[in-house]
Amino acid sequence: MKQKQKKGIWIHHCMKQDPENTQWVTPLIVATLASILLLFAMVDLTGFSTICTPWIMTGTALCLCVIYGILTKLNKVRWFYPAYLLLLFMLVVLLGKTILSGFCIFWNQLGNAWTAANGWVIPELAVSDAPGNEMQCMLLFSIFMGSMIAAICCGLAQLEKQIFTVLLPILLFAGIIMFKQEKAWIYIVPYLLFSICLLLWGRRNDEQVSVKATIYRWIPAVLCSVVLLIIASLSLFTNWAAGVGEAVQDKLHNAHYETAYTTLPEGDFSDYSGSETQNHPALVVSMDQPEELYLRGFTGATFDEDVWKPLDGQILVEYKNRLYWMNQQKWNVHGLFAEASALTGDMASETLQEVTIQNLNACGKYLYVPYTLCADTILEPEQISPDGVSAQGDDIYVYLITPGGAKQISQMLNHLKDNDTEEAEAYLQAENAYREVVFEHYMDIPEDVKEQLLPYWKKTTKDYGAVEKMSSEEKQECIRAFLEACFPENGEAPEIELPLDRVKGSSYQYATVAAMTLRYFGVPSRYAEGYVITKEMAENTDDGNAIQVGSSNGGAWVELYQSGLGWIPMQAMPGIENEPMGISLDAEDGEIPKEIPPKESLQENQPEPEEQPENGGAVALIKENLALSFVLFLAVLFVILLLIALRRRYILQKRGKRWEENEAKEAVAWIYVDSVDLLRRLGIVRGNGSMKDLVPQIEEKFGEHYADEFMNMTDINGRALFSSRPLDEKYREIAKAFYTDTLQLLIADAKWYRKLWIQWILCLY
Amino acid sequence: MIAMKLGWFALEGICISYFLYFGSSAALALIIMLFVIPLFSLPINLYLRTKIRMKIAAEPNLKKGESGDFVIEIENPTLFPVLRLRCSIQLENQLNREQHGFEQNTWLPSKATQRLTLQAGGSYCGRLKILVRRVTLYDAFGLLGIWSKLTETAYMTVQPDTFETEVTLTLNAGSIDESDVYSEQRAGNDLTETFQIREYVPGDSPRQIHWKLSNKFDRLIVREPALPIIQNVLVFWERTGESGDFDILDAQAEIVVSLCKSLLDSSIRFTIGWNDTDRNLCILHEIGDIDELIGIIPRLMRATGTKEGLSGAELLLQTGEHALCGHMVYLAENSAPGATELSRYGHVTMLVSGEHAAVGARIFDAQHYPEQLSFIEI
Repeated sequence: MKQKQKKGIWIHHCMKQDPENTQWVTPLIVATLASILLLFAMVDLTGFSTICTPWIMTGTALCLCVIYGILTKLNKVRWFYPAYLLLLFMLVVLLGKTILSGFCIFWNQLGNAWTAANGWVIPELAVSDAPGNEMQCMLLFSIFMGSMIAAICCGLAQLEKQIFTVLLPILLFAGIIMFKQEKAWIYIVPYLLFSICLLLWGRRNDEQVSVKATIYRWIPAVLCSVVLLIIASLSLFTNWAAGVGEAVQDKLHNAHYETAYTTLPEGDFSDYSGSETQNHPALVVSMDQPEELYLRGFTGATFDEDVWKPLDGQILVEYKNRLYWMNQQKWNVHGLFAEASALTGDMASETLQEVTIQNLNACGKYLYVPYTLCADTILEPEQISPDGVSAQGDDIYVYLITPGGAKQISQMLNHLKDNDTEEAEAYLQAENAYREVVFEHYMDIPEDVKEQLLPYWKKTTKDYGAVEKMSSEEKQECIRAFLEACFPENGEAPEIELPLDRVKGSSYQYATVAAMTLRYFGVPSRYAEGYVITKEMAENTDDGNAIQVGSSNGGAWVELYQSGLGWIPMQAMPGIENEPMGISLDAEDGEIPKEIPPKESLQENQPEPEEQPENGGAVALIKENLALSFVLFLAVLFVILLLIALRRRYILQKRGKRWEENEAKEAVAWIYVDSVDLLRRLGIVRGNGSMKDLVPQIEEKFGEHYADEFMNMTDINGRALFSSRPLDEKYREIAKAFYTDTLQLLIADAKWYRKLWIQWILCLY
Repeated sequence: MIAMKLGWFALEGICISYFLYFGSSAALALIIMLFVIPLFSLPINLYLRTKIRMKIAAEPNLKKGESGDFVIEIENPTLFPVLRLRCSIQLENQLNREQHGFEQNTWLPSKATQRLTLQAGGSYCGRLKILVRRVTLYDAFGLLGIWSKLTETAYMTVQPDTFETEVTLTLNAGSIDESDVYSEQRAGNDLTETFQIREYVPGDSPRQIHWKLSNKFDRLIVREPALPIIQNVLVFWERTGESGDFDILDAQAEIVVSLCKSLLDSSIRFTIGWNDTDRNLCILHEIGDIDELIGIIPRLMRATGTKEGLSGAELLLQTGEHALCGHMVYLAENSAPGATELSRYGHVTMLVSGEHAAVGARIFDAQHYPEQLSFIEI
């Protein structure tokens, strides 16, 4: 094969013709596999796996890939994307509302997965289609989504299939991290094997790749991976690997959030060996009027195998709307006490106190906040997780608190009883919404702990009868008696066998036992960890001075839920008063006589989704507002038309420059080429022979005069191309006249839509 | 293969991240696999490097601006395949010393021969040296390379284009232009020798009529005189003092070949010569017909030039009087020292393209030389 090349010397592949066009197989296989892997990962990670959506998506993707393969085989692949986009456009125009509803369902699922993983709420979109049409909406959206992913994969596979080697595992990795999926194992193997296979395939650009070569490379890799995967599936290795994973996560956590002097275990006592005896500064707290504070960091809702964990993400998803609605009303669950305080007349007028925390050696994952926190001064509205406030990397932070919290509890409860204002009504509705969550999920006692402590609990209550029939005071007395028996003031080790034996006698054990006991007696409670500014420390510090809180002030305590006020810490260290900060242990609604609205009425009172500015976003707006959609459509259309016009102008300018070349020869040759292009559109197409072979055809179609003109012009073009002598300027004019004549013929001959196409898209004139 | 290596590193990094973050034993297995396969290939490739054989074949001649095929055949007589193989190829135009590197990846099945068909070409004339300077054997991922000792060379000649130029010999009293060798292709004007006998056609000179034979055959027979072949011409290409301008060099090569062709068309035997700048020698070849000219072109096309050094004219003078002719064409970029001395031995026509031209030299440039040298009197 001979071909003209650039200047200098060159060397390249021998570009062999492929008469059977076998180049379509590889991209087809790669695109299909990549689409399937992507879709399955997406469906599983986002939880969009209701009904048969994964199979519909996969089916659509497969169909699209096959169509792409067939078109490639037939050398018609250039039509694929225009046709696909047209089809997509038509689908959107005809069934846009249904697809949009499907998208809303998908988005809500995605939001749930996100909330479950991160505790952050993505507002739900309202599904506008009829309630019974969810199936149809999801079906259409699945087709839409499946085809989109397949189309992208086909394009990438054709362009550079090796990109999937890195793209797929990275996307998967990012997805797993984002959605914190534990079952990553399932995806790793197929994704990585697919990537390794692609890597072994080779690059077509610089290599003569053959299927045989690829198979030769695959055989050892497949054998090796099969053997290694079998070995890796043995429990010995899986346990070891899991241990490594955990150790690495711990190290990452330590590196990211902790220092060498961080001591708190964050509720994990599975391998906790106790804290250092040396006192290191952990926090520096500054406030105008120092007071006793329980600065909680980590809080635990569930206790299992010596580990306290926050409320599960899936539970958050269940109550997501309720918690989000609370946030909308500015009632964050971390700031209930401050809200209640603000409602209580006189106390509401008190000045809030500013607290500045500098984190020196405490775990940086959490903000250390007291129960009297004014949540809206530091928390993002979406941060609804009721356990442990995420710090997001801040080492120094400032927030406001309600001063003298514990002293006000009784007064606040009394005030709430008598307050009939609308604000109080609304507040209690919100508090009631959260109270339901608390009573449902902060009451669990693990079976092993129950088994261990039940005999002692029963022993404590034997004088009062069944727990359900006991009064609040009796329960309070039992709890006090039991805790005193477990953790006597003289510090002697109890004969009772308690959970968390490895931290025997510590505040961690006490907080755990206290939380379990409170739960047994029907009081919702949770484990809290953090640092305590004691009364003595506060009293010994001058106003405005900083208090250095050391690791010796760190520990755990139990928090119980006081209806109407939220979570209140209860001092739980042996030898120190174990009163729950001066409030009753009664967790029933006895303290607040106000009728708590039922859940149904609460939901009725919630604003409609469309009224919430965050709910719906741009998509919902477009959906609801057809006029806006129309304007958007017009804007897009205008941009497209503008681009077409600019492109045409550029092409015509370029052509004009070529026509005005200094050398008449060059210009004539270009004009002739453009004229021949016009002739092509008139159906006069040159075969393999000379241009002059077209003369009879032209004569028959356009007459003798034009045929003569064409003949003359062909001769002039021959001279322009092959003669060494310069061409006279008059020939340029002759060529232009010939072009004009040809154009006139085209304008007269072609239909309007062809003229539009030739004029604006092909830009031939 | 850099993309392949980067891909391997990225994949290994992802696997390690998976393993460390999730504690996945499957990811660990794949990490090990990604390491084991290249390591396992290492001893095999060390064995194969001494066993594989290579041949190279190339098209001998090319036109300027066109590509010609060359084939590298690599044979693997062993039972082990080479999973990836890279040939580092160097292409050099020996006339202007332009170089270009290229790397071709392939693989080599067991007990089989792999044929790599590649294309090479040049826009300037010259002899292309195709050197497979290194063959490297890699593992499946292209990570660990083992060099083999194989090297092979092939040549392709990018032929110069020629242009029409009319060459006439000037009357030179000092030179002896008589010859006792006559052309067999063309008639001349030396009546002492007959080129051919044929029938009279109108227009023939009456002086050519062979009366004796005409009388014998009873029709007019004419005798055509023969063309003596002159052997007193030297075309010399000065290779010292070149500036390195590829266009000028290309023009010079084309002028030399076009001039030679024109001389042969005029049935003038001549000597073609140039100076070998590496060995400081004058290369001289007598050319009697077109086949001899074609045969000498590959040598001519690797006459590498130099900027400084002993000039060809000086070497020619040193070679002796027998190397010099009555009509000499001296082609150079600039008039070299000694060039003017040549005129003491015969008529010298200097064709010069540079700024330093001697008095009387014909000047040409790289763009218009066909027009400038359409007529040369030597």
